[in-house]
Amino acid sequence: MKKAPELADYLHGQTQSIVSTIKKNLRFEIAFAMLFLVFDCIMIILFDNIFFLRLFSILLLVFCLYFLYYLAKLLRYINIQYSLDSSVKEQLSNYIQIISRFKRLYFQLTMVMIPLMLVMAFIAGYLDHDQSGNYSISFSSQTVFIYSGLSVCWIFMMYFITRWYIKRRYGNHLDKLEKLLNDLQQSA
Amino acid sequence: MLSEKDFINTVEQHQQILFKVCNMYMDTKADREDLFQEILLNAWKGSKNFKGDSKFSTWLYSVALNTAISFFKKEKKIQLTLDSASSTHLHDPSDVQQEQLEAMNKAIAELSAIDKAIVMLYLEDYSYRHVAEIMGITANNVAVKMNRIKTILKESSKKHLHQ
Repeated sequence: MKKAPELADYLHGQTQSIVSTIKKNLRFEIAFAMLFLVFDCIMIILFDNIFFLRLFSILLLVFCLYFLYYLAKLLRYINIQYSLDSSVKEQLSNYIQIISRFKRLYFQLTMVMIPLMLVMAFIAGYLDHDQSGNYSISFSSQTVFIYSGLSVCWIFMMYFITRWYIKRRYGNHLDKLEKLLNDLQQSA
Repeated sequence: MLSEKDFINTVEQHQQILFKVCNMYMDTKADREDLFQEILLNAWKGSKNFKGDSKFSTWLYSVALNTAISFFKKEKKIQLTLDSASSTHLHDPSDVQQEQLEAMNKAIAELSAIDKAIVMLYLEDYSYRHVAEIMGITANNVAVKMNRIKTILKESSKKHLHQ
């Protein structure tokens, strides 16, 4: 039997549940996105004389706002849905919903950002501007070809790595929860 | 809402529930300790939702089982130990043979996480209606599942007894 002081110590520990991990990840992503927004706004103001950098920063700002909205929406959904004193069936369904939505959002976020960054980096390197603000092409066609090839390979590699990582981090857990829910719903 | 002090005092009186659930779902001392802490943290976080409509023990069972069922920290074949068996209150060891008790414990340990929860509540004398409420299924479904579990346990414990 544990005494009251020992029980009190437990209350100040860290939880290990997957939903808490997801919430922590979401909070981190939101904080990072907000920080990035501030940085991006500074970029827009500072690079008012360089058209491409300004355009690049505005596009990033739009994407950042878009994902910030979805990250916050998911965090709110978890805070409303996550209640451990509901029935086991309800709880399992909530867990499955939360993890599935997080998995989807994480994958979309990664897969949208990778090609976007590659294209932006390519254009930024491809176009060079002089002191007067005129643009000129700075890559040879061979460099463009190599860069494009490497980018496609990188996107494919990241597609599989991201899928593998999400499956390893959350997918196996999700499979088990789905199996448990099926077990519970089976009538005999 | 309970204050931290009230919560700890209430849990102190009902901590047997947490031990039973931890022993039922985890096989090593370290894992049981981790699960104990996880349940306690979840119960504390969820205590603001406890309105007193049900008994505190029923509410705590609900939180404990929800946490234990979805707690996949360490993947291991779950084996119930003698230590854990004593706290599940299956039978009084003085009434039944030790071998039968061990065989039954092994049989329970082989059940799925869901079936374990149903058995645990059944052994705690919860009615099918209460078990159904905690599990989120119908009382009929609980009865059907319980019959199936009894058959499994009978066969499985027989098998363990002859080993």
